[in-house]
Amino acid sequence: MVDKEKIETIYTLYADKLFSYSLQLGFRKEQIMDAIHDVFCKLCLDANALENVENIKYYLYRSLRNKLVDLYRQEKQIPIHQSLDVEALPFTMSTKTVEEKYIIHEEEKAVVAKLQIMLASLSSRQREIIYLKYAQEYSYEEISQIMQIHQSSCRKLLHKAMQVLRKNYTHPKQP
Amino acid sequence: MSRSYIQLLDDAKFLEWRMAPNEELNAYWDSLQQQDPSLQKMIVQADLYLKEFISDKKSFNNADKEFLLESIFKTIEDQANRKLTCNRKTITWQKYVAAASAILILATSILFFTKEKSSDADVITGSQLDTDQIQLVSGDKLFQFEENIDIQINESSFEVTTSAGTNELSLDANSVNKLTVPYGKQSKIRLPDGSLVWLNAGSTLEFPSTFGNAQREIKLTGEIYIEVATDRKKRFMVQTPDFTVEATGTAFNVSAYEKAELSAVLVEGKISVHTGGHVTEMKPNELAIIDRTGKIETKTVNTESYTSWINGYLTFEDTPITRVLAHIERYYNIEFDYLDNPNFQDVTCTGKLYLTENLDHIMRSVTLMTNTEYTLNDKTIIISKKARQKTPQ
Repeated sequence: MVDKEKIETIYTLYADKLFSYSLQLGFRKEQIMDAIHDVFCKLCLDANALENVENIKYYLYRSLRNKLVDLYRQEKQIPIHQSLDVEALPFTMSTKTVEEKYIIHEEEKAVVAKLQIMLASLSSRQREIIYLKYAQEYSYEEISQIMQIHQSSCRKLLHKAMQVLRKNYTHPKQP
Repeated sequence: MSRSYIQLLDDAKFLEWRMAPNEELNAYWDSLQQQDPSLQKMIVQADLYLKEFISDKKSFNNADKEFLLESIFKTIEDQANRKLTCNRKTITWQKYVAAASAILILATSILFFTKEKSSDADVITGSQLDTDQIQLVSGDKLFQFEENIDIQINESSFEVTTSAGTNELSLDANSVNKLTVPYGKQSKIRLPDGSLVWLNAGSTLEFPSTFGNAQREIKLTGEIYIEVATDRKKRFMVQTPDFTVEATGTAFNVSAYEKAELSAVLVEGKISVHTGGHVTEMKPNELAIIDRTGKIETKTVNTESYTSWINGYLTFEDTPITRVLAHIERYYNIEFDYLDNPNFQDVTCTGKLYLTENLDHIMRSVTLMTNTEYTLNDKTIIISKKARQKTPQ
C-alpha cells in the first residue's frame, strides 16, 4: 500500500515548483493539473522512485516534461517524425513577480530592462537550460535526461546562451 | 569599490559566472570578494533576484492545489483496488479494453479449475542477455561503442557523438561501411546525401562512404526509420533480404527482422515496395506487410504506432501481449520463453510504453496493461496471470 503521508509531503514540497515550470513552458492550468496528476499516480506505482527520495525532484521534472511534450505534440498535431524539434515549445520568463517584490529605483530600471531584453533574445531552450541549471541547480547529466538531449548538447546550448548574453551586453539594444 | 546588487546585474561577467561558471570566472570573482568583503552580500542579493527573475513564480491557488491532491489520492486508491480506471482522465497505460478483460475473466476461471495440472502453462519466463557493443566497420577498421551513438558522415571522416562528446574517426572513402546495433541499443546516422536514419535495436545497416552517380543504396536487416533527402535524379533504395523499398524524398519505416513480420510504413511522400514477384506503390499512412513468399498486402494505419520508437516510446492498440514482449526483448536485450502458451493468446495491450524507463518499470506497466504479474529474479523474468482479480470496470 502506498504511503499517503509520503506522497503528501512530496506533493507539498514540489507542487508549486512543478506548476510554475509548466506555466513557463506555456501550458494552461487544466492541462498542467492533469499532467501533475498523472505524474504523481505514476510515481505511486514506482516503489524504486519512492525510496530514492533524493532523486524525486529530478524524477518529477522529467516525467512531467515528458507528459507535457506529448501533450504539446497532440495539441499542435505534429506528425511523429517532426516531433524531435521541440524548439517551438515556449519557455517564458516574466518579471512581474520580481517587480512587485523589489523596490527598483528609476535609474535602476534600465538595468532590469536590459536583463529582460537579454533573456528575451535567448531561444526557449536556452532559457529553459538556464532555468534548470541555474535556478533549479541540476547537473548536466540530469538536464540531459530531463530535456532528452546529449550532455554535449546541453553544454553547447548553455555556451550559445552565454554568447548571446555577451553580445547583448556589449551592444545594448534600445528598449 | 562597493557595488549595489543592481550594478552586478548590469555586469555580463557576473551573469555569466552565475549561469555558466568556469574556473576562470570563479577565480576572478573570488579575488574580487577578497578585495571587497561587502561584495559577498551583494552577490547573494543579486543571485536571489536573478533566480526569481528566471523562475516565474505564479502561484498555484490553494483550492486547486488541494483538489488536485485529493484526486491523486482517489486515483491511487482505485489503483490499489485494482480498478483500472482513473477519475480525472484515462491514463494511457491504464486504458483497458473491455473485450480483452472479458476473455481474461473466462481464462482465469478456467485456470482455477485446471491450475494443478497445468502449472507451467500460465507463465511466460524471460531472461536478460548480456549486452554487446555497437560496432562500426569501415574498410579494415573496427570501432566499438558502449552507448547509443549519433553518426554524421563527412567527406573523409565519421563524426560520432555519444553522451560523452563528439569524436572524429577516419573513414575509408571507397568502402562499404557497416553499422551493427545489438539488442538493447539504438543509433542514428546521417548519410552522405543528408538522409537521416534511425537504427533500431538488433539491426545492421550497410552504407557506402559516398553514394554513386546512379542511385543511393543501403542494405538492412532489422528496423530503420528514414527521412530521405530529396534528390529526384537519384532514387533511394533500401534493400533487405526479402524485399526492396524504393523512394525519392520521403519518410518511412522499414522493419525486416529475421524472426518477425516484415513491413514498411509510409509516413509521407511516395515509396514502392519490391519483392521477387510483386511491386506495390504505397500512399502515406499505409502499412505494407510482406510475407516470406513475396506477397505484399497494404492497409491504412496510424503511422505513429510504427514510428514512435525513434522518440523513445511504443504505442499499442489491442496488440497481443506476445508481440509487445517481442518489442521489449529487442529494447532490453531479454529473451522470453512463450512456451506456446495458449493462455496468453487473448491477452492484449493498449497504451504507451516509455523505453527510457528501467526494465522493472516497463514490466510493471506491461503487467498493469495486461492484468498479469511478474517477478524479476536475477536475470530471469516470470510473467503469470494474476491469481485473483476483482471485476474490472
